[in-house]
Amino acid sequence: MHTFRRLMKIRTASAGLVMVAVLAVACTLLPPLLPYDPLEIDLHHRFLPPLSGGHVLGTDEIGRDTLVRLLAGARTSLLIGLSAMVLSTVTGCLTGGLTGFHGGWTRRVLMRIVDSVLCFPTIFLLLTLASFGQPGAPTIVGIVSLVAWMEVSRVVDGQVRALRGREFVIAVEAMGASGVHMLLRELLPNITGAIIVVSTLNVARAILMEAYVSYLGNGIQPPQPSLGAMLNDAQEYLRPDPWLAILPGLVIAIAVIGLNFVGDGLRLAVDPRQGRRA
Amino acid sequence: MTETFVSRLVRMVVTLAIVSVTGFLLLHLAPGDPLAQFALSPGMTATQLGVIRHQMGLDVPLPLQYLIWVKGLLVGDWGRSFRDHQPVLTVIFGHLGATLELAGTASLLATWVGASMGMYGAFRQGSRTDTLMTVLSVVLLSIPTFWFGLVFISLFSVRLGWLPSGNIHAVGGAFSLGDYLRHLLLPAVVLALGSTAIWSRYTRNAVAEVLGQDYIRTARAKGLSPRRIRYRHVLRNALLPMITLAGLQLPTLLSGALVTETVFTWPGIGRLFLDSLEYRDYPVAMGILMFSAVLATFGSIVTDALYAVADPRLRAGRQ
Repeated sequence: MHTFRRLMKIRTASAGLVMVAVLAVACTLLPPLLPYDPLEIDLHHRFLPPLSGGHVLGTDEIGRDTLVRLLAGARTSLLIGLSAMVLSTVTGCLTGGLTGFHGGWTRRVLMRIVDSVLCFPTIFLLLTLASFGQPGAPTIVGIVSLVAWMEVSRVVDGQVRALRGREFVIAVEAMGASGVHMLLRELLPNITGAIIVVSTLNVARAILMEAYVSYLGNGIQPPQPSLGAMLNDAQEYLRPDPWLAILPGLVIAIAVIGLNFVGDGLRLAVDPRQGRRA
Repeated sequence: MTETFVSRLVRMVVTLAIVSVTGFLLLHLAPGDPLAQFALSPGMTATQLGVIRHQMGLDVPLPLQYLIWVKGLLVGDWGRSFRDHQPVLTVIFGHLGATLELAGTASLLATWVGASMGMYGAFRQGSRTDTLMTVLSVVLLSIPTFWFGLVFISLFSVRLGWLPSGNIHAVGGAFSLGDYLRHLLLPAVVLALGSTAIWSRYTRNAVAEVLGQDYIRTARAKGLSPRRIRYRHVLRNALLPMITLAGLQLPTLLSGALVTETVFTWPGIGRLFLDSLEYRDYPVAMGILMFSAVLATFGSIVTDALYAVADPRLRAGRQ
């Protein structure tokens, strides 16, 4: 509770929370209230500019309502971001906890793998991995998590190693606690803050990655709405309708900026000492 | 020193080996077939396809293919492109120039603007400009590069008609510097946006950290001029973390160039890479992958060397 109050005192963090909350509420509650379907084609009303013909944000190249598609795309993005975050956090905590706790060879092997993966351009990994599965939301969640777990792993590894030598851990060890007990009951609870920070920032990163993959054509497939794919479509119609390119980008921006603000704020709120230094 | 250098070299070789095996497996096992481009031609028979497969060296077991490829790599024969039969190194060097011009301009721009923003913010912490720039850098980092590309094209090329929307020079025209710079401006700015934000955040933190040190207070107490403190004491010490960032930015810039080159149809190595992935042009894709992996590992070694130059404590001979 203290942490939350500290978080709300940071102006950017509370603004970020509001942005994400508004977006999440809008894309859950609004679509049923709107008279359009994200896939409904209407060739008589193509390229309508915003605020015309009953379409608040206009229509696209085949007359589909832009607002409804944006909301559906945003919902997909948020869901993908959240699922990828859960998956990468769990993997990262397990691997990082293990290597930080045991050190030695397990750690050396993992770090070598992480270093090598960081050598690949992210887009290369995303695109080649994407070609293995059926294009769609589950595949994206999988590949984004495959790329994102390392960050969590590194943080957890570092934190666990730092705490490993502290008195309270040694005391528990001396009392004969098992390794699993020490890791789950003593170490992990003490680094929840750090994990929450990385995870929040990872949701933002996952949303960006989804946008990149879908923009390059390997993500969510048409006609299903996705913010990245909408930007790809809009590229051809910059002359008749620049709104089609501007709006999806703004929605991505709201989500990712909001999450980044919250993440940065959490970093300060969780560990006030670090905040004063940074 | 020699010992750390050797162990670092060993680490680099291990990393490159892992990268090459993983990359090779990923590419070859991914669905899709480099022969697809031939299979579509009329009158193509299965026997002919078999001959082509043999000539491409795709009919031997995968581990053997890998060994043949590595052997070639080590003696400087990186294979030939499946698409136009040009040697891979020729293809890569043919596209490298354009990317270096783009990424070079972008990183100069990003370093200069970003570092200035960061220093300004750190020296005036808590001021309105500082807050504004902190928020701005989060915003820049949160928006996909290609969106800026699309918006810039739509504004400066389509709406205003000031700048070309893509390519490296006007089609059919003779080469002129002005024309080239006009084509370079938009993609370079777009590519620079993200790294500018990173530079600004990073510099701000590095400088702020140094400003809090005791020796800065001592320097002030000695009555040194603010200017001298700023350049001699603060910046020199803030340089260290900034050098690390310069090394880390190398692969990031290449990744960014991939997308920027696609948006602006810039004939560089990033677009070549995406094309070769699409065509399953394994030799070219692997070549670029290894090239950028070497660059990335090399970048970290250069970083360490620069570190030693900037920080006398790390120089050879001292324990």
